[in-house]
Amino acid sequence: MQKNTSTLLQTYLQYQGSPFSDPGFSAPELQLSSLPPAAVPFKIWHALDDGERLSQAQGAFQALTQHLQLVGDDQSNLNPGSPILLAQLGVARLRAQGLLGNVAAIMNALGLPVPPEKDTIGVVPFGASAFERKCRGYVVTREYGHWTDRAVRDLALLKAKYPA
Amino acid sequence: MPGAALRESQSPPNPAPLALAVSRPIAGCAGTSRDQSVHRPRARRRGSRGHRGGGVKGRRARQERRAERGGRGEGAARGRRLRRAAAGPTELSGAARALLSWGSRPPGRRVRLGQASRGSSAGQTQRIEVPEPEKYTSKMMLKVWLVQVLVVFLITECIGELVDTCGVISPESPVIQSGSNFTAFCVLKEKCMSVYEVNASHIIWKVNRVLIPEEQYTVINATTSSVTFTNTGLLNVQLICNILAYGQIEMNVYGVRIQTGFPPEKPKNLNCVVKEGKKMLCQWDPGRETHLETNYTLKSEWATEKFDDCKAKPDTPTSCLVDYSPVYFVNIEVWVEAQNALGKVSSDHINFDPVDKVKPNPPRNLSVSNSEELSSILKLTWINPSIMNVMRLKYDIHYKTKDASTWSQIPPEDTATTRTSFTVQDLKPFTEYVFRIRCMKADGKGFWSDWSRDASGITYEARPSKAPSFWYKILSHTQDSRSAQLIWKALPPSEANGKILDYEVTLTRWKSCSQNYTVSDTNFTVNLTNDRYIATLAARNLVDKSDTSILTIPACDFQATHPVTDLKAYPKDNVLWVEWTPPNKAVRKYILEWCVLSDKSPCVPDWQQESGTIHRTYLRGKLMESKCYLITVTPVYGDGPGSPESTKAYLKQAPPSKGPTVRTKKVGKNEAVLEWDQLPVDVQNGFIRNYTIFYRTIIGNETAVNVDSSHTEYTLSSLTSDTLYMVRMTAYTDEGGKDGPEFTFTTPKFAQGEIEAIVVPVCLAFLLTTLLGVLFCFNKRDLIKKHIWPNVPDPSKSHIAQWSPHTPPRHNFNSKDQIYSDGNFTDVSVVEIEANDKKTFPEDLKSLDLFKKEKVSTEGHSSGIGGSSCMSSSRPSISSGDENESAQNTSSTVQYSTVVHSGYRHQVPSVQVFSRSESTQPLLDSEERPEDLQLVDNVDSGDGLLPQQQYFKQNCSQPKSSPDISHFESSKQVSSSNEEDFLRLKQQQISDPVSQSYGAEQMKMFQGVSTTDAFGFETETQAEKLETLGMEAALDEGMPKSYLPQTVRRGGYMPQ
Repeated sequence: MQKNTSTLLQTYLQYQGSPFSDPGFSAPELQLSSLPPAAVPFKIWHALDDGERLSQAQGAFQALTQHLQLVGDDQSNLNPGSPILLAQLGVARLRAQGLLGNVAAIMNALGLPVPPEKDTIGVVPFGASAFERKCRGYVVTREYGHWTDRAVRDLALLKAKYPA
Repeated sequence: MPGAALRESQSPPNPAPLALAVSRPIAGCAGTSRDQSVHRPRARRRGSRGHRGGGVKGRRARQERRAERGGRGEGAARGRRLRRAAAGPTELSGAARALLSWGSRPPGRRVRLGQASRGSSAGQTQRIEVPEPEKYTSKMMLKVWLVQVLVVFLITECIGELVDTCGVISPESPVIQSGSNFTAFCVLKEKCMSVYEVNASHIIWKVNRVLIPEEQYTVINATTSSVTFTNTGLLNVQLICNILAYGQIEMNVYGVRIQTGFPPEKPKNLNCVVKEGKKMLCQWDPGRETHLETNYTLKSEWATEKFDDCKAKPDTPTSCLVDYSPVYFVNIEVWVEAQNALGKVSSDHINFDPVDKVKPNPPRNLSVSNSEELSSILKLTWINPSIMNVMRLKYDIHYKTKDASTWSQIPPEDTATTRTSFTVQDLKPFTEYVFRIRCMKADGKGFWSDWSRDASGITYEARPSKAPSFWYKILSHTQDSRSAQLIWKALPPSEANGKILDYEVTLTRWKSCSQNYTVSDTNFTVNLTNDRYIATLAARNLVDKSDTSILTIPACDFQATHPVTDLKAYPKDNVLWVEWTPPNKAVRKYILEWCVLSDKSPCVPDWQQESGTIHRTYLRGKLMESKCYLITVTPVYGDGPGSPESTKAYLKQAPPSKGPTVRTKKVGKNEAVLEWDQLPVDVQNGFIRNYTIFYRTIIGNETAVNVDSSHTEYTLSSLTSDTLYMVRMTAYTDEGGKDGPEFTFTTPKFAQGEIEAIVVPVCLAFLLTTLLGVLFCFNKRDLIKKHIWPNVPDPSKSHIAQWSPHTPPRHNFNSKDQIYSDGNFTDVSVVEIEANDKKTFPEDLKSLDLFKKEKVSTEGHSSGIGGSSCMSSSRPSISSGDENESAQNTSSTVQYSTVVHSGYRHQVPSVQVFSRSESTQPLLDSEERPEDLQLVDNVDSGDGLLPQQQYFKQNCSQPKSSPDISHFESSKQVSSSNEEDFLRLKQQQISDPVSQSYGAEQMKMFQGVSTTDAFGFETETQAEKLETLGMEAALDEGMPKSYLPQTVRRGGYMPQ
């Protein structure tokens, strides 16, 4: 899944045309207000307890699934002739959803309250320009990768804590 | 178009009832076709097509009909017209359409007869207004007509009368569970009932046009009848409710299709598989066949989300391929729902992580490489499927030798982790192996991938693992050299461990250096001396050479000993086993040789080597059935081969291919000796265990005799004489027998020797009789002679008697021996007279003269005895002639007899004759003679002459026995006779005192030709003389002197 996220990012960028498809494209400053950033100071992350970490991840993946859906919709308009990208986006969304389900299951197992699903996107994105949409997609796929990495770390930590 | 027609018909201004009236004729029509066939009216339809042709005509007809329709149940003529009017294209009722579709309507769809009429507000009948044809193009019209004509005819013909639906069946489209009870109701409508004068009791039910027995009907009330099916089987039938209008005309009221089946069973064994790179496929077991249309739906969901249903396609109701790609590591819950008309059921839910249901792709690019260092390993490499990024893999590697049919598995624990190569060990060198590999999730969840493509590789060569079998044959053997062929077997691939390049042979003569040879063939011929040799053999391949086989070729004078014992060979499991008891000496190895025994081809032995520790093996060559194999086992010791032992065996016996040919050796009166040859080994096909002889007369029963196989002869006894017998022989092996040709013989009437037994005694008896007769005759010969051969007086005798007037000689004869006296006397006298050949042998004569003179002088009275006896007697006569002992003085008497002498020859016998003749002269002495003779004998005994005399006498007396001493042949005898002669001469010369001492020499001289002492030389001459004498004697024989032969004989040996 981790690997697939970077593949998805690459594929996504590849299909967006310049400047996104230029090699070494990176725009870390771009952020979406509706999507919580995965980057978090290590100390803070380390200080979080399991419940917080999981609920953060849960919230992030909830947002990600919605955003990935949004990006998928955008891309089906922008790039209708690229089934690979669309399939990857679909798979990514599905995976995010799967991970969400797993996290929810873990939280259930740990006896933590599962935050209800909420619409994180709101009315913001509609009516955005193509460039905005592309940027948005970029951020989503990038954050998707970041969050996946973080979730892996979260889960690894959890796994170490609760062997078997 | 029909739709349009129908629509128009909905609003007809003229609602003339179409329910036309089943007029009698029509009813008749219906009556004739109780089964109200849909297709029945075809002929008429065709026939009426002509009416349709003219639009005007059709229109008129329509108008006519319209008018007529007003009244129902009118005359037959009108009904007929009505039918014809129906040929018009315009009328189309829903009922007709429904009826049309009856035949082909899909199951479960209900059919409603007389639907159209039901739909009409006017009541049971409906008038269908026909649009004016002018409204349509003519083309359209044609189409409409074509379609509608068919329909209309259906209505107007036989079904026409059923336009009105008189009732309904409930339930309308029943689907019933097989095995349950089912009841259908047919509810008639009041109006119809009154029209047709029917009530519920007139309802009849049909299933698939077959009447249902009335027992199943129940009349519930006046309008309702029910029919009940109990324990319905699997049905898919039409159920029709009919009424009997007017009590007899059958009319359809309503029809339904009944379907039976089962509710779906709970699907079992739901399982899903995720093929790598593909979507998830789930399968289940739907349970029993429902016989109904059943839908299966696969439902799947996550804890947080539901997925779309997956509907199984009707042709694959047991599986469904979901249309989303699987997400690994997220548990999914899956179940399947089955639904049909009778029920709905869902399977157990299964919850799994798709990663545990993965069937990976097989590993790719499997390749095999060998190692030069280790000949027992092969290294496999492959490329893993990409699923290895998601999960760990384990592998299953199979391998086999190229020709094997079954695979071996590498222990799974060795291949339980993700890897891209594996080294297979413990393989055989220089062998091609085939490998295949598959993989699955390392924890065993999921499915094995398909097998990869086979890959093969050959292990590297290794040193030959065994020394080759090694043996030798002595091809030829001369005085001081022999030619030996060393032979060996190529190593089988499993032992050669590579390609054998060549063989190294060393030959070591006893206690001398060895010679090396490199041979690529599997035999090697060398010339050896008579010494002992040691040969070694090693096979060499690319890697190394094998161990050496050592073979000792013993010296020429080596005596093989210690054979194996109890050698047996027997077939078992289609191979020939050989078993033996090992000798009590350490055996290095055994050599088994075998060959086919045949008279036609020489024994070409095949061989094999066995280790010294075994004592049972089988022949590894390709053996043929029913061939005699000569198997020889030779133990090989350290110092050379032991004595071979042989046995014979068959891989599989068969009856002989030819039977033995029997023949008779001897046929007797009551028995026959049969003999036959042993069958040649080529036709025996097995061990001949016994023979059976069948013999029979031409009419009699066959008799069988079993004979042991070691015999080649058999005597049939108690046969009938003079009978034709047919005999044949069967030779039996363990597997059966084979008849030989039939042989016939006839017993003789008489036994052998029987005739002889009769004939021989008869002949013997005859012979005996003859012999006895002869003997008798011989005994009585005198008598016979007297009778048959009377003694005729001999004139010559009488002559002699006359010639010699004195009787004394006769006396003499008589006194001594009659025969002699007679014969001699006459004979002598004759010869004296006639034979005078003095001139031919003058010298002889001279000597003879002397001699004779002397003789004559001496033998004055001994005339009676002929031959030597006469000679001898001459001396006595000499002696007796005058005084005793000294006869020298007798010369005086000789002079007296000179006359006789002159008439004779030189020959000795003549002397006697002379004496004979002389004897005539001393007539006086003749009487005294016997006494004189005696006396002389006595006197001369001192000289040793007496025996001779006696002998001569004997000779004379037994003339027959004398020839037995065949003087003429043996020289000794000759000499002896010469001696006699000499003696005689001596005797003759006794009278001459001077000559006596030199007797021998005198005789030589005396005889002239004959040298006295050296007999050999002169014997011939003497013999000649004797012959001459014989001749003379023969001449004498011509004379009628009865005893001449005696004289001749005497003469015969006397000279000798």
